[in-house]
Amino acid sequence: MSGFIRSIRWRLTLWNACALFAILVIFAIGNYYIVRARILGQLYQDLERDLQNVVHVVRTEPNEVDELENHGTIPLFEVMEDGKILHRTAAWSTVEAGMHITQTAIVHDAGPTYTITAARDSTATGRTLSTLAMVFIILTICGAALALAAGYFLAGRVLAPFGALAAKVRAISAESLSARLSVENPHDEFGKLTININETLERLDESFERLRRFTADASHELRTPLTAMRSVGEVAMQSRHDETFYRDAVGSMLEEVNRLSRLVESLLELTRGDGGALQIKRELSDLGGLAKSVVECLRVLAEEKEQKISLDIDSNIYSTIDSTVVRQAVTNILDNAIQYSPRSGAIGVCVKRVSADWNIIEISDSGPGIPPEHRTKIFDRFYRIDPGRSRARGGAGLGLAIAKRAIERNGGRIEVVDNKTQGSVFRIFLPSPAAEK
Amino acid sequence: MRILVVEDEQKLADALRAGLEERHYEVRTALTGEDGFFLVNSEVFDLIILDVMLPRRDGLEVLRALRKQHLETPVLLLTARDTVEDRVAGLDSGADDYLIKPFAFPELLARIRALLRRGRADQILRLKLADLEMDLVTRRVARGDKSIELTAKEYELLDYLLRHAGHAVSREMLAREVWHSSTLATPLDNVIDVTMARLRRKIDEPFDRKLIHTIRGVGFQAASDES
Repeated sequence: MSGFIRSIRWRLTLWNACALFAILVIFAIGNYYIVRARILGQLYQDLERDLQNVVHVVRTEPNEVDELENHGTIPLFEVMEDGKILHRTAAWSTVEAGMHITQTAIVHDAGPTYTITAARDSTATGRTLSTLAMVFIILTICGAALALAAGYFLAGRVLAPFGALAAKVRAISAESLSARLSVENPHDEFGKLTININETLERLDESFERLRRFTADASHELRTPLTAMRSVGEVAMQSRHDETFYRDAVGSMLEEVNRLSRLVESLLELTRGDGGALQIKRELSDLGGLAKSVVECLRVLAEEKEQKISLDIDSNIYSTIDSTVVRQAVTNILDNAIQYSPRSGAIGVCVKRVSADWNIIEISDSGPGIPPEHRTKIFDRFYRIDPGRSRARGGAGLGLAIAKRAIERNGGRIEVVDNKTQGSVFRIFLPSPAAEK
Repeated sequence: MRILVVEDEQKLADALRAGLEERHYEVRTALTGEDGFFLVNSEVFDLIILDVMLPRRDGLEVLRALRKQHLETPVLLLTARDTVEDRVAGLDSGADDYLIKPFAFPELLARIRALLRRGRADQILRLKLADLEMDLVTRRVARGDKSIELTAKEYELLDYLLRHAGHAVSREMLAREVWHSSTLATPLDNVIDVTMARLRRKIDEPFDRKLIHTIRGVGFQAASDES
């Protein structure tokens, strides 16, 4: 029972049939009572006329009462004179047996008291009414049954496109996410639903594609250290060597293990941001202090390349951020700036408020700059402008992707523009606390 | 010192046993939580290394059961899951420390030393390795009678290396303990390498006897002789 009640088709059908049934019942009952009142009203009117006729005769000439019967217009009446029967029509005996309606009048003028009762046979009327009731009942039931059938059919027709849609959607799997449903009429409810589904598919398709590319890239990245480890290990096992050789081989394999661990760590960092699983702990943090501490940490790298890092940091620039996460982003970007700026190049770090809503951390380098066609892609995972170069440094092309995610998770955004003189400028926008209220 | 290792991965359990025995610890291993629980109840250990993900009875369950029995032995958890919630769950269950897999063996050794040392106050005022001396009060560093000027980070780095003299120190340990960074990323790796190179330029370069050694693939070690 509950099984088919759950089907929309049956529910629609039942509601429809119930509504129609209720309407039919009200209609039938109403009709029945109107007809009944009419028929009975007529009957009582006739009876009243009979009675008045008899009363008239009794009043004017009581002895002529018999004549009334012989006249034959009034078939059923009885006249009592002081409790005794004065006259009874021949058919009176049927009054007690059959279905009759009666009406009584008492005449008490001067002489004796007359009790006059007239009757009319209502058998035919009763039969008519019960036939009528029967007809109504049968019609109502038939109507309801018809409504059930028609409703079921109509609901089926209305719902048929949903079934077809469901079948089409079911046919779409991870492999065929690029398939779209055809929209017949974009303006009806059904078309809107289809469009919505198509849009959802579009987004799913995009994220699937991204995931697929990510997995492919990640596998490729993982393969590199694995291949190195394998080769080193296999070569070491090929023939007997002295201890130094083995130590060297194991050390080399461990280096690759470290590279793998680092990579897995970065991948985890990225995927965490994706699922939103990692909660970030945002609190009011001093951006200037954060930038300074990152610069202090990485300064040795710049010093090795005789680069100068100039600071232009306003005090009291606060944002509500998870400082560990943002710190990592700034570290990655500053590290990039140091790597890509030439020996004795200049690097600038600037922290200030740019509007009521936004604070900015700006890191400029004196590197080769980023060609416009690469600017949006450099934040993609595993994207490298020059694949050979950055891999030699141990990077997997994840630094900027991690930075972007980190900033976005803190409600900010990141962009890269050309430096006025030479190189690029990375701008990290973070919302100021006022903007969040 | 007796250490119990409860770890279901046979290869890792064997490696841990071999590595720890080389460091002169007495090691028992158990491959399931139940075996581990049984061993703890029948023998005495100074430290328990407990994997969180164990078949049948997981590490946290075993740990809670042990703490319920008022067992005070320090417990070091090994876990592959490193969310904050997991850490909190581990420490709440009564763990003294945790390490995230894959961990560096030198780091495990350092944690074990720290846990076994726990409770004993050892105020060190002076670190010494061969002719290298570090006065922690005056922050003076000298080799023989030649005084050496270090930056703050170099000083901290040397301090850490000397405290673990004779033991290997991984980059992860340095990142966390000296640079106080919870995440290890390539930039910091480079910073560690550069700082280490500068420290060696000051401590080792002018002298014949080298004290800071690179162990390829593992990390660094301060030692008075090549090992």
